[in-house]
Amino acid sequence: MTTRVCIADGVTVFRAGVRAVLEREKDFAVSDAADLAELEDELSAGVEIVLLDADLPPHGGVAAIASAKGRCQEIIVWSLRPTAAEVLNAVRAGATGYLRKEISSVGLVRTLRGAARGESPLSRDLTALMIDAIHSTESHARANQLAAVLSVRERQVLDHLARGAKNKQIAVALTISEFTVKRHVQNILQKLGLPSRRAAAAFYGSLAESVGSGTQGAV
Amino acid sequence: MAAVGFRTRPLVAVLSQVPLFVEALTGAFGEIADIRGIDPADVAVDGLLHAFSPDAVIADADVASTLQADIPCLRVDLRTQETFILSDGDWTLLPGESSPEAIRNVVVAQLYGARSA
Repeated sequence: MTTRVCIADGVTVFRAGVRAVLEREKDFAVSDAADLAELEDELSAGVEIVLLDADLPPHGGVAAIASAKGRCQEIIVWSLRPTAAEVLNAVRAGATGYLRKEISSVGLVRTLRGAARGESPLSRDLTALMIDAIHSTESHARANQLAAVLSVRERQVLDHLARGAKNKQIAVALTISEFTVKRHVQNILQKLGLPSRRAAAAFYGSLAESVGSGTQGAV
Repeated sequence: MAAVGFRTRPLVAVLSQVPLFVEALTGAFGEIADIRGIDPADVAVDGLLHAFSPDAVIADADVASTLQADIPCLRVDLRTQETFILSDGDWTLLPGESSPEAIRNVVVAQLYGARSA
């Protein structure tokens, strides 16, 4: 039985490389797409597996997943040196697997045959990466939940505290008394269940990360 | 014993950790040249390159390597699809798409243009 694979990748070299590998095998029929519009055409013609570049023009692979979902059996996203965020975002968007573009020819054939049987391609190291990303996301979510109990003024105090400011400096910056700053600090530590100013600074760092770039970590 | 390294056609070394890049170039060069993929992370890559003595080198942009200035050297960025050629010690961006065939044509032009000079 022949598995129809569409290589959806804006980079000609990768389309050519995958085609060269799969055309040596007797159980694959290969088509390719350089962008989302061409992928749509291939999906209409019928494919079982889409090998989808994370940077597929014009809007990226995650956006293209929405087009492919429900119209093929497997959507495998791939990229060079994927980050934790890229893997997690792709899987959340509906990808059924993720591969590195550094994969060997033998590995690619083996993976696609497995995908044709319904196996989800995700190597051990990418699985570990994704688990770390999920844990990090959960940690950030907990930080956000905790921070929601702080008042606006308490958040302002925490911001200064996290940067190493002493109570007197915070009082001057916020135009409040030092006594008031001390009270806010006590409230912050109590509400967040933290033992010290240093712990509060570390908590603030985690909060700032979750607001900034979300999950971190590259392979 | 037959001499090892006797060549009937040019040898092009491809410095890359992306096997599919090597596959694509192998397909494009076909019978024109022999392609040898070399892992740039190999601890003795310089020695290996010297031993192979390729007629041309193609590297991907993620590779830091000592490319020989006396043979055609190309650098291909696998993310942006830009191709650069080493010319007088500087990398010059080549116009057009970096398809495997286009890369092949540049290398062939360099090899046979140099021989006829």
